[in-house]
Amino acid sequence: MNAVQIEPKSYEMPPRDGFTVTHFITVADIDRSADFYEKVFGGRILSRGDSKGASGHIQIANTWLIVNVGGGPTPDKPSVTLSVPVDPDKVSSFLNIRVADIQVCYELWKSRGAEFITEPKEKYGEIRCYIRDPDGYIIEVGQSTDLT
Amino acid sequence: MNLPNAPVAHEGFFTCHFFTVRDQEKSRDFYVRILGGKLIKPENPCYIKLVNSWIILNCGGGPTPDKPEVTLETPPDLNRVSSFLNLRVADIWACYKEWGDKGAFFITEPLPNPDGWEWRCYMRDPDGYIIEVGQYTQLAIDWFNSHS
Repeated sequence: MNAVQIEPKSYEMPPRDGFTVTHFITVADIDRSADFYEKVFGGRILSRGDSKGASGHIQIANTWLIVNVGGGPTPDKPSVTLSVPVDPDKVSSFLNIRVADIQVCYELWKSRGAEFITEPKEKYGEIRCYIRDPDGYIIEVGQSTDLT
Repeated sequence: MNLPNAPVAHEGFFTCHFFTVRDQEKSRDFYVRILGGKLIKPENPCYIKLVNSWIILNCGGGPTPDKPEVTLETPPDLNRVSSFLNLRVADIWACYKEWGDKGAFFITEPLPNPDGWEWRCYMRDPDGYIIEVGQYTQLAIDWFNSHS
């Protein structure tokens, strides 16, 4: 059992009650993505999936990233096909990482191989920059300056 | 790890899930009233604390100086998906009933996944994003326990 302790209770994967929020991304290569999220963000790889179609699981801070290759449709989503991003510049949803110290994260994660679109910039009460992951997903890295 | 109301990290970082939405009020209703999230900030962007994570909602737009080639938009094709919110639940039939009774649209009822790891079904949120609702089977739980 893998758990994140968030007082007064711990959130577990798999959950024993209620539910746990995770983020799924379709990837070209499960191992490549698992290695990236482990190396850059200090994630913990719980599984790398299997040949029968099971997903890879990586724990990152308070949540889990679930990764698998594309495909479908499947009986539970008969009109939906999963694919890596078709156009990396048209984005609807993304992983958003809220950091305590953006300059430290920017330098550290860059030194670990993360590709940043720009350096951190101030905008709308926060300082932000974006990473492209190996499949081209954007990951927002933001430090709030007006929320407490 | 203490999880505050707002996703403002005082050390390290928190991971959240960002959605571009058409109507923040409609989306708020879905994530707060149906899924039971806690409203932290009402709009522009809207922050909703959901179990171990946060949902962040905002309107589309861009590009911005920190992502000069990226445009944010609601899903242009509901049947071609790359990443999605994935809720791992302890009792999928209970969630299916509770959220369905509150007005959530499910594409199908819970179905066993051929990989043997889980039962799954999918909701559509107000913008048509798919949200996976999945319960691990005993096979998967045993696997996690033996690999943790």
